[in-house]
Amino acid sequence: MSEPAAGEEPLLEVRGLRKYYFENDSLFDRLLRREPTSVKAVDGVDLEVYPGETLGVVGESGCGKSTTGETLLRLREATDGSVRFDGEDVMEMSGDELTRFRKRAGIVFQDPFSSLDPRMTVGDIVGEGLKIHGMPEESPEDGRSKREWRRDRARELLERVGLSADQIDRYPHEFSGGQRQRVGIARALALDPEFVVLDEPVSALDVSVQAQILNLLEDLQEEFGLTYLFIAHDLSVVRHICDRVAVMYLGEVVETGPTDDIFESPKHPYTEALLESVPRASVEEQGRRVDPLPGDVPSPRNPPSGCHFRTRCPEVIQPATVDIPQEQYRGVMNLRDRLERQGFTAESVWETLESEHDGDDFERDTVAFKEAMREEFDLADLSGATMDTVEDALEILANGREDEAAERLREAFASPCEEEEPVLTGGEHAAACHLFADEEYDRDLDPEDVGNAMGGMGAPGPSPPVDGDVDDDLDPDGPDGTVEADADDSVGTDGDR
Amino acid sequence: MSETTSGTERAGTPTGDGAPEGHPDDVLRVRDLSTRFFTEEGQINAVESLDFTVRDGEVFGIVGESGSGKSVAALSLVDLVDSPGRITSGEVWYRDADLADEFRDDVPEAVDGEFVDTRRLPEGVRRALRGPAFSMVFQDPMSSLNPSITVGEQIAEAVEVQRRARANPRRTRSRTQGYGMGRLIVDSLLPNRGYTSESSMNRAIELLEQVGIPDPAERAHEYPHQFSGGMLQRAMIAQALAGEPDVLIADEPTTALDVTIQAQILNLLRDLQEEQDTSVVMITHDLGVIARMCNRVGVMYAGQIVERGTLSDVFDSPVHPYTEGLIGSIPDLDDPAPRLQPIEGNVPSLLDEEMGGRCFFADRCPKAMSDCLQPIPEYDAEPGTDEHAARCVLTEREYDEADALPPDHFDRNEEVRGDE
Repeated sequence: MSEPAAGEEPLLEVRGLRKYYFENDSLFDRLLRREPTSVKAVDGVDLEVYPGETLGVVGESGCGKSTTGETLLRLREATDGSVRFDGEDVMEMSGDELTRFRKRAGIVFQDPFSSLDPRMTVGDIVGEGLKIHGMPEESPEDGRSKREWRRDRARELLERVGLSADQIDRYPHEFSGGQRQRVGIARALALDPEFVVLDEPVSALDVSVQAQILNLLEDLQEEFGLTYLFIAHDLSVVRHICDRVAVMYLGEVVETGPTDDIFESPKHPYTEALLESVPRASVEEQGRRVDPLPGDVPSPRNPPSGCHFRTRCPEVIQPATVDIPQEQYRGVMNLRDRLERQGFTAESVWETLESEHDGDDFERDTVAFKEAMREEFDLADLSGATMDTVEDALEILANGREDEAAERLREAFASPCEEEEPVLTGGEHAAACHLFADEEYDRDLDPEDVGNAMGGMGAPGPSPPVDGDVDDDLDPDGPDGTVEADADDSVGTDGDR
Repeated sequence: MSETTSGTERAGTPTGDGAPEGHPDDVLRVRDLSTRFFTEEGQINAVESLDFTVRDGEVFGIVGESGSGKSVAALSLVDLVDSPGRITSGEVWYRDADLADEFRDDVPEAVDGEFVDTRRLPEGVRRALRGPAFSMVFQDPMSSLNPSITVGEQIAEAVEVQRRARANPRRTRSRTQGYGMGRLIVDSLLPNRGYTSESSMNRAIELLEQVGIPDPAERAHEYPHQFSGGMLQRAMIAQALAGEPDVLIADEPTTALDVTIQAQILNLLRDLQEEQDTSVVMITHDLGVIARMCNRVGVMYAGQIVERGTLSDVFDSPVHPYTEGLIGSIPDLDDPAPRLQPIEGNVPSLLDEEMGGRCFFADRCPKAMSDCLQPIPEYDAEPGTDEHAARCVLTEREYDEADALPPDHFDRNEEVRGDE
């Protein structure tokens, strides 16, 4: 539970990790010359985990956090990228080397009901790893057989995780969810690992039991000097247990940094929205309205170009030629996105208009079409050159030429966010967002627009006074240096707490 | 003990006459509702003499861990408990002046003023109340919708049922049961003869639009697997709204969803509730969701509501050690406390023979005393108000270590149970 000292070597270093799953990739598909489609579960992830710390990986379902955890342990073969564990390349390991790595790195799975073999006693489950790794190597000196030694070790482990040693001959179905998760933890600890991936270890548990397990994990970390990679979707759990956090969205890390920095001064608009969305268990929460992110996470089969988050981002950067309120720009972007990526057709609008129309004499009226579109995509308030362009595009769309309409909108409204993929920048507390990438795209909009962009997106909930300087991050000319200085400040303050 | 229970004890007598006393805005008053499951392993007391009220236009929250009986309580309200479960006792008083007039002469014991006891109404009438009076949003949208029927058609079915019911009120045969063998044969021969009509389909599309599904006309013709989880939950809500219910029961409506989607659905539920002045019973395990949505809360443990009151009663001045423990177990997002205070042990099994006549929480309670070894009625936590009440002797007396149970008091029972 220590902050990584400067210059310390990470225990685990992940670089550009990719894991794609391919569809239509069988021999039959190849004979028919079908193009395989890839599902980009993990799409270029960089992580470092320092000895003794807990790195949280947090994100919504489908963002690739579990796949990352399993791929870096080589439980799944990576498509690309490198993983170095204690200086050795995990991807190149084989034979004995890999076996040794397996002993040093363990995993606790999410679902305590399906991750334990129902036909083995918990003693066998906990001792199985010992047996596979040929432990003990020599017969114990006190005359016990190797089997007895393993059994005693399993007893010890069960006691350590808060179960009774008498329960060694019970089967998993005789235990409750929390107890099974304890068995899973005992199994992961059996080989004395240095590094444990905890894949949503408490999300299947009730809150009262969840707190028991979290406390247990903290105690074990301290006792055995473990390093954790803690995968979770529950932000309050992450805040509680992690030293540093990486926030994932659609297969990529969008923000990473010390826990307090991330939670008190999030940089990436996605992190902000995520924090804003979480309901707090306190009376002040009553009736709090959040501005939720619109829409769903896009499919990883066809992630948006550039920044993956741009389709839901409340702060998309507008091209130099456009300067309209964020909501209106969002409306135009939504229209484009639906046309380009979701197969939106003019025909469906006509059908809706027809079904709303009374009587049989329905005529295709372009004016009504444009009216309906403006309403659907909140485009009514546009004015000036922007309106002309959109009107133009709607006219083209009304004539059924979707591609051309999309093209017309793309020419006028293409955002820097879709052209270039942002990279993690900002040192210790880094975000992959063009807003922080360089000064060119910084928020030097007039105050009104900043107000719009930031509507309802302030620091969530009641924040400690440390947050006073959070807004500095939004400083139009806040280069990386300033940001880092902020991060350091916060770390210092936390130490005092 | 006797002198403490006098005066403030308000445990409902099993089959009282008339509706229980309550707030004038009550739309639903539940008294002494018990549901049991009769399984091979024994009788399971899933819901044990439940008392609560729901008022006009409010959100009443029921919070509890898994296995606390909150979902069964919801199903019991709408009489959807399946065999081997059965509602063994209790009254569900629902305010409906028209219904009360209709049954005042036929079933006098089921009517009190504007209230009717749905448990004593004929089965068919109770059935007819599902939709216009009560409707339900289930937890898992993926498994609650039929995968082989388009989303639009499933919602249109609900609309159609309500339309036929309005045309012919109280005749249940005109509703779901209208689909008999005859219709089945005709439909098999003429596959295009659907149950739904064009007008109900259009209404379904309107409903989908109301719950915020883009391109409703097009999406209505898609199947559930083509919807995302959040969209499906919206569709489920649209279906529940088809009958314009007075009371919407939402059973863990956001548990299967991610936080950003959860925020969308909670906003939607809030908007709908405010627009249509529906009362909502919100069932969840997430105290954060309760805090954001609810006016009043009931905390369930082992089939009972162990504490109820307004949101601030329960969150800021809890009396029952279980409520305290539940709140202490949650890591605070804004203030990472050094150590969580979990409740030791596990949720009890609800097998009748193992429950015994005591406070069900006594075996995990840090403040268990000898007084806790008898059945605990509900006491007022703050004298004079009817709002804040708890099933705990600590409402009546201070914790006294002299009376504390020895720490191994329950170990013997647990040996027998072989579970912990």
